[in-house]
Amino acid sequence: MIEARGLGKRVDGPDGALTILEGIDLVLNPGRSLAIVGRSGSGKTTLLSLLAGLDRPTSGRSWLHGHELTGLDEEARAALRRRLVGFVFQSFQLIPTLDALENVMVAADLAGLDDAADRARQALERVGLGTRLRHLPHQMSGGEQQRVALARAFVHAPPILFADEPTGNLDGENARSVTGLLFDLQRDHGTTLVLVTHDPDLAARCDQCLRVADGRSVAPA
Amino acid sequence: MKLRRQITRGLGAQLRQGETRLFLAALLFAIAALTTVQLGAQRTQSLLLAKAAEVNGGDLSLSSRAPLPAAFSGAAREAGLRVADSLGFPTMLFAGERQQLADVKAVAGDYPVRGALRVRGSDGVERDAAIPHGGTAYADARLLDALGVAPGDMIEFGELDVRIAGELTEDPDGSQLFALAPRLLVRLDDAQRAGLLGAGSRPGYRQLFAGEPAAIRRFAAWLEPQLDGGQRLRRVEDTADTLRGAYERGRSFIDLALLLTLALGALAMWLALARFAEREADNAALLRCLGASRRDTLLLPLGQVLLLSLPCLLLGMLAGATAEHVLSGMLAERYALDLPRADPVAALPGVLMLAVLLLASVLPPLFSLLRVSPLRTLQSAAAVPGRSARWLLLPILALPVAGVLLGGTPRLVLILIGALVAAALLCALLVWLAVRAMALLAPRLRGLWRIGLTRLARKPMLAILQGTALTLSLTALLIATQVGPDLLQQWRASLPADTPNWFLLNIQPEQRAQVIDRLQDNGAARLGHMPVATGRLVSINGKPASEHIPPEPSMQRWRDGPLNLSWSAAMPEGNTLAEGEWWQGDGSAGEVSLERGFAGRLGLKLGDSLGLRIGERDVDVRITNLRSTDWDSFRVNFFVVLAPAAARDIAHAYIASFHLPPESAAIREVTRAHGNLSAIDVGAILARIRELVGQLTSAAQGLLLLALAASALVLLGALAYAQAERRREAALLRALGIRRRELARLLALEWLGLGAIAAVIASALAATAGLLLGSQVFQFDYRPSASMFAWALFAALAVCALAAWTAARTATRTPPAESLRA
Repeated sequence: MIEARGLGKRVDGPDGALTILEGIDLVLNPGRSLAIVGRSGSGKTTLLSLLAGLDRPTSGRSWLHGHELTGLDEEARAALRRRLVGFVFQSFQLIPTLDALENVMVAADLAGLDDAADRARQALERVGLGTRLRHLPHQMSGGEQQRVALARAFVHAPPILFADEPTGNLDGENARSVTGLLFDLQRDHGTTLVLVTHDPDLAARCDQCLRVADGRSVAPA
Repeated sequence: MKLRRQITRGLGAQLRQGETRLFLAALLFAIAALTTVQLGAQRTQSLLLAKAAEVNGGDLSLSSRAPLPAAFSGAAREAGLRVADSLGFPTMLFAGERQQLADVKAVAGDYPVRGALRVRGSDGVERDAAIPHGGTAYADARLLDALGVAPGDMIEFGELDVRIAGELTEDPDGSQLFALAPRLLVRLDDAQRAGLLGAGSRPGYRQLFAGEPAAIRRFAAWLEPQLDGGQRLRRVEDTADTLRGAYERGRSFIDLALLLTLALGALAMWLALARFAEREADNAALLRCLGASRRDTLLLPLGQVLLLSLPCLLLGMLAGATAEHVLSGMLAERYALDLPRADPVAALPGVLMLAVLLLASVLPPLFSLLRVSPLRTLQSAAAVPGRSARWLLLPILALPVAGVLLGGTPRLVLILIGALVAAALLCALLVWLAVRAMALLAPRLRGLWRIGLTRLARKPMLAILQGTALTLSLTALLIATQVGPDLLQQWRASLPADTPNWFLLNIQPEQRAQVIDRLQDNGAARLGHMPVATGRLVSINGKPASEHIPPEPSMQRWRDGPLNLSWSAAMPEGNTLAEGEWWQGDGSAGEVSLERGFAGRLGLKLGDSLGLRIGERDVDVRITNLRSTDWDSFRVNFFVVLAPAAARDIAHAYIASFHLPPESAAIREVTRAHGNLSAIDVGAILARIRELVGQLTSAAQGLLLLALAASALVLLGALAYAQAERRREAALLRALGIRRRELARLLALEWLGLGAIAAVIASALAATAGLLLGSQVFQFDYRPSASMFAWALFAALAVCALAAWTAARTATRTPPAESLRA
């Protein structure tokens, strides 16, 4: 389960303090999916990073799978992320010098899995890249790179997945294919999914939707 | 586009970029190191020349068997030089009942023009001294002992009675090292009044000059055309062979240090600029989209880099001069060296020229910006300008030019660069093999080990560049600080304790049996003796020798100088046959054996015929064999050995070599009994030469260490090359849940892995160099010490730990949320 109460983030800017997020409340039950939507600059990605424990809020509290993040330092949050969380990024974020298999194995290794190589291979086969194991990121298309990222996100079967504009850098066909895979994997693993998107179709496939405008949650779309 | 305005407006932003800062830091350090080494080299060069000048007796020395024109010394004084006249001749000295043959040196003018005379007075205290007053003289310890006198006593010197004013302990004229008989130093006018310079005295005349290098050069150029055949001019540079060897060794150390500094500095700067160009490619593509010309896309970053480089150049020179001042002070104190002053203004043009060369050779990676397509703004992967590794050739090609600009002879520069490039290629190959091995090993490991080794192995070019630079500087460091001193120490230890330390000269045939018996009775060990005669090399293969022998100054002694030769039925001890056959019994009247190196220098080979004039006799011989001589045996050795059949009826004396314990009184006894004998304390000469060579190489070694320390720091900059990429990866790994400590461990693993590889390869290369030097140069089996590996590991890990710490500090501070913004 993911829960947030009164979550907010303020930063110091050149013209004084700037409020990016304020008073966000949400509850997302296990195995459910949530789409965060809103205009560019509305604070969607900031909300995602607070919910995932990548950043600390300046106000409010949040829980990840029953663990309160608010009081934890970065090291403790990293330990939680490693166990509980998978990520999919808009710009794929693969390590350019490692091939597809090795990129997926990084997450398996970090999670301390014994059979990292086998698990990574299976995960890549699951996303349809069983024949591209030894390809480096620059030898793959954007859609393929995002599928490697999906394999990496699910290789250690985390209970929660955060996805930041997972189809934002992809064309229609690839976007549909990656979206299909994402929801299939979510369903198969029973994963709780939080995704940030501009894509109304993608948002429509989620169980819940949170619209953010000027740093505040507004009525669900 | 208002280019100038754009350039200046963007300076601040450029300065905030990591790559720009890295480039500027590398430049600043390279210039600082270059200035340090240039000034240090200048100072060491002056020190080397000053030491050589001490042995030479001056910056220039002119010698002749006939009196030298006073016009020469007059002209030298007018040119602002210090001038001294010196006259050397042998004479018998008397003190009561005792007599002794002595080498007299009579001096006048500014003697000594270089170095200082050291004299121990009757109070037993040693001090600097001027030339003796009229009616007094300085005598060395052997003369005092032979005549049984002490400072304050009178001796008979020709028609004069002179008082011994002190014991001569140091005379900065190299002739003292090679003096055959005990030495007496007197005033020139006293020598003239003593009536010893009549016909038959055959004195040697010398004029010694010292002064500013430019004035010396001008004076030598004026003097040279006026010399007649009997007058010989010697410069510092062509002084005694032993010192020249040390001088050249020192010089190549310095050149090597400089070239290494330059090569590593250029490498660090090239890495930074290649990275800079990659980053600028996005800006260039955008500017192209907005309509900028190709020229502008290049000139904008180029102008910014050059503008930012200027203050770094000045700061670097200032920092270098300060560092050199401090380090020289420390060196001077440690080795008790009297270092000459450094002249920063004189070093300035050299440093500037090298800085320009350095910049010119590392800037070309920016030229790849000319090829950036505006399409890159839409599709970044489509129009990557490519890392142009071929530009790396430029700094490599610039090295020989830099070497020659620094004043190295083209041959030496080529040899050094050849060695450097060969070593770099070998290092690169070995590092590549090690990286391949890691790539194979990584899949068998787990967790952080697998991630770390895979990441290292997946950037082979970067690993090879960094590993090679580290290995190369480590190898040089090990050779300079570990192998070199070890070699010398082991070589000294390999010499037998009873290595001959005395030579006894001028033993007449009728004295031979008695002298040898007496020496044996007194416990002389390794006693050997050979006949010796003096001749001249008159012709080679029927042509005058002067036409055959190369015209270099170092060859002059063979063209018209006396040549000591010997003869023997058996091959002299310590010699081995290199080519040809040794003769049977006394051989035939036409056979001669030459030392191989001597034959090589004179361009002689087996079968060549030589015409020798020995006394009144002409002897024609053919070279029937060449010998290799172990000069380290310190036995009596000759370049030319005749078959005994060729040496019949030649007037000769004998020379003996042997070892005596320091406390033995045998020499005193033998020379007292036979006043005509001259004893040479080889041990003392060797000690003096060793001390000189030691001082010179210490100074040069210090310089090499300095350059290597500088290179290590430049290297550290290069190690941070992939910082931006690592920052992105760090953010990602942090998002995936890696802990700070684990991330730091991962980075440490990568760097320390690289350090361990470099340490292993560098120790192996340094040990191989030691083994080769031992077997080829020193002719003994060198044993590499285990501590060398430990030392290499320590040095490599220290550098890499510093790099890992720098990398880890940045990486662990990277907020994981950055991965969402990338």
